[in-house]
Amino acid sequence: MPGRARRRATCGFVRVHCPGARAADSLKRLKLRVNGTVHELEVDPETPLLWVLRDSLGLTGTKFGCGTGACGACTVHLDGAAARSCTLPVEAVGERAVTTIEGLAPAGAPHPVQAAWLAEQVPQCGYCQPGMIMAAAALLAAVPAPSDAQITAQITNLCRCGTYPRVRRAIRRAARRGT
Amino acid sequence: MSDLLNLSRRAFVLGGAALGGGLVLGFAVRPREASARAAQGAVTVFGPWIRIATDGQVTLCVEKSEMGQGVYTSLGMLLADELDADWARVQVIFPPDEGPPSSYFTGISMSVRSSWQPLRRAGASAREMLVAAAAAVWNVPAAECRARHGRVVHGGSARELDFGALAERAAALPVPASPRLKSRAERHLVGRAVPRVDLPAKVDGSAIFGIDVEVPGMLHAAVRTSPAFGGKLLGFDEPAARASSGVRAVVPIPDGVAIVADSSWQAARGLDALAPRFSKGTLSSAAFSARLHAALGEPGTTALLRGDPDAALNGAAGVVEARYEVPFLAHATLEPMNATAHVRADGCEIWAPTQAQGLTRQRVARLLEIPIERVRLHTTLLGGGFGRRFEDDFVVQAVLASRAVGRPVKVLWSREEDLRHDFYRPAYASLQRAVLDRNGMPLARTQRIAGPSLEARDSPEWLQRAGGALQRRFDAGIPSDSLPGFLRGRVPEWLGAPISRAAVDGSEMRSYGIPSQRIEYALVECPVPVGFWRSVGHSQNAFFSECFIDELAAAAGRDPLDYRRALLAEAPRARAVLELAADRAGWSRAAPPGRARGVAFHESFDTLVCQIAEISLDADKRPRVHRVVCALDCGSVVNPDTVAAQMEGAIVFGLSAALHGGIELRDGAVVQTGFHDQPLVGLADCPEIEVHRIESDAPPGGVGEPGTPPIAPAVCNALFAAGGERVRKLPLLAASR
Repeated sequence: MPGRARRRATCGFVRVHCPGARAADSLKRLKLRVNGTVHELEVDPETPLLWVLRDSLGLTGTKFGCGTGACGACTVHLDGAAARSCTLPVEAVGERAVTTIEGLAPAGAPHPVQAAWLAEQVPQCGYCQPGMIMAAAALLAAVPAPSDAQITAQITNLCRCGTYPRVRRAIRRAARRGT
Repeated sequence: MSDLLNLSRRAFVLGGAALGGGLVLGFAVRPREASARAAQGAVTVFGPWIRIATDGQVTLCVEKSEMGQGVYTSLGMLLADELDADWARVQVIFPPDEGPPSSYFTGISMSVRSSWQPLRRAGASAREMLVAAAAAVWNVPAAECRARHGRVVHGGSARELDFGALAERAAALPVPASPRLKSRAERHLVGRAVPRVDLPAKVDGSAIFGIDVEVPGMLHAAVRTSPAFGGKLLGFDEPAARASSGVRAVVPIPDGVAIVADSSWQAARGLDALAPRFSKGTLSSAAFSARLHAALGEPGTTALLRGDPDAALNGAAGVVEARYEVPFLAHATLEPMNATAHVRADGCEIWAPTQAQGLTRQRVARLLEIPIERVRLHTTLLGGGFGRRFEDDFVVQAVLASRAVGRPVKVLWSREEDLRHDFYRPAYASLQRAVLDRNGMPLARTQRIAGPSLEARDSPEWLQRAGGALQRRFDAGIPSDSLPGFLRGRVPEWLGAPISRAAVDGSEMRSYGIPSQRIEYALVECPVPVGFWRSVGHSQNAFFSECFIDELAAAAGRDPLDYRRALLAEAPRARAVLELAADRAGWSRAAPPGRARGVAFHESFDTLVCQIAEISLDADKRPRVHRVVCALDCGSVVNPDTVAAQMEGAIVFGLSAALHGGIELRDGAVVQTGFHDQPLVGLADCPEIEVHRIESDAPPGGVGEPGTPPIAPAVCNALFAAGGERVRKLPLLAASR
């Protein structure tokens, strides 16, 4: 196997500092409404919303999976609709209200989708689940009793652990209970 | 801001007799709740796994990584059940791996199998000590007292004392030599569908994965390593990287370069600006496939020999022969590789989603040339493991970056880096031949399996070849007694691992009574890093053997399930699994219109699994899987719902591979860069899955992996039954890409 022996031999390092590397002129002041709180930020406006949530606001429940909007681990709500935050420049959010998994159930009691997720014991590793839950909550808010075909069409998030059968059951359960 | 910091600062002070004091830190799996109810007061330690606080809170330490398999819950249940703890007052943590070298790792579907006895004994010992302590307080015989839900109760007087009040006194008592374990009927947790302890934090977003680690003063790194395996870094645009916002440093790492910046996004942007250039390689998928098939034409090293298959096959009429091939496969955990490290003058601290604590610490200690005692490793939750997180390449990068900048650094890979720098399930090819008796049953079978060796990763190629050559001479009949004892009949692994166990695991059709068989392994060198992928060798060998058995059934003109029933005549446990699947799938009735069924049976990790897939074909003869019935016997069960979930997940994991999985090579590099060209099964193409389990008191079998191997052959056999072609090469939908 090439990796090990070769890697062991090339583990030297050089330290290269880049003083004055901060290109402050690329930063911009923005207002961002997240989970009911307005934040004033000084950020590169091209930064995807995902990284502002995670790195600037410490809201790490929203996950990075692919960076191309393909997997849905980064799903949040913009004015209640599901959106993939890893490809959305923060500047493009504008006035829209951002809701993350941390803000889905502000009262402290779990959101009906979260309750259904626990009842069906959906997550395995759990990494994709905040995005999956946000996608399901947005679907049920728009379509309270979705058909199987609607669930299939709307929930396109990827789960490597294969929790899909339980995801479907949990969405049906939450729909029965009403959201 | 960070739950992690709160957790790190929360120290449990140890008191009691078992340890003189010290600190226990660990990641609780319920950060939000845990911070509200951290153990109060002194904590008494009962051996390595159990800590009881004076307020009665029980902390159970597991040394197995939680990567979705529910191990925190199932190992916690083993301890808490025998302890008679109050489950509502139990929390499970993974304590930091620190101090003397450890051998912690999570894999081979081994966690419950290896913990079944020791953890139950530990729980029972602590329970007997608590009961003895209460009996001493009340001055009554211990036999009149019993533990129940976190308290000890005196039957005669109905007096009771909480574990918290008894712990310190109990820990001073002698540890029972042979504590009494509960019978199945006495268990209050084990065997029941207990909700998983890690799920509340996983549905409210507070669970801490590796990517979520936040350490004061931390910087962020993005990495790019040579796309071509073995390629060289030719150059990069450092001024452009320096001009990029937030960039702090450019750090060489093995096979590539890291950019360290103030945030993850700035690091990723800086890396794009740096635009590192690498030399190209030459290997292509077609060329490697040709190497595999060429190797099938040469004798291999015998891994198994039973009877005299060559005599039965040579010159026999009606020999069935088939070549199969499988591609390299990526793990594609949804959480990309990442790790956080802080190299300081006094040692190194690491926060990582890892399956291999012991080996990772060893590797870092060697790299930094410090004693292993000074490498401290915190295991976070893992956003998927599947064997990928056995490796330590991503940890090494974080350590090098932190050493270079003198601050804590979190390395996070892009999806492209993750797919192009995996340790892949090797590509293999297989050639099988069999001859049938007058009843159509297999009389003799030979199989040659060609592919890279996982075990030989660290031994030089010439040694592997020498070992293989020597073993072939043994096979050819060197008299054993003319050799020193340690060489008799078998080349020891240190002499070059001539047989890759991972290449042949699960190929021997253990439960089928085939009288003579030879299985050979042919080593094929490759520059592509290879590693352990969920179910390892079983992942390809179940496909090879269960599709081939289907071919034999067809050659004999028999129903494929009936054929297996006959093969399992002498294996009642396996046959019961087959019958259960057949019954639940309705095999004796015709499939619904337009659908066809395929069956596969495979045993791995001490667990027997049969799956029946029901499919239809679209106008282009492409399969759609509608329903999978899974029957299994995995012996004793800790958490039945976890078993079902693992089977469901393993089926979807195997189905993604069967339908879409295939890492291709061009110019020595991996072609696939994302989920657009390495698709996974989604909700839309996920079948209905039913799991049916045979109740058993046998010792527990593995559960995380055995559900994966049978699905590919079950689907391929269904495809044949539907009038499609006989699939001998995966993935099924390769042409669609």
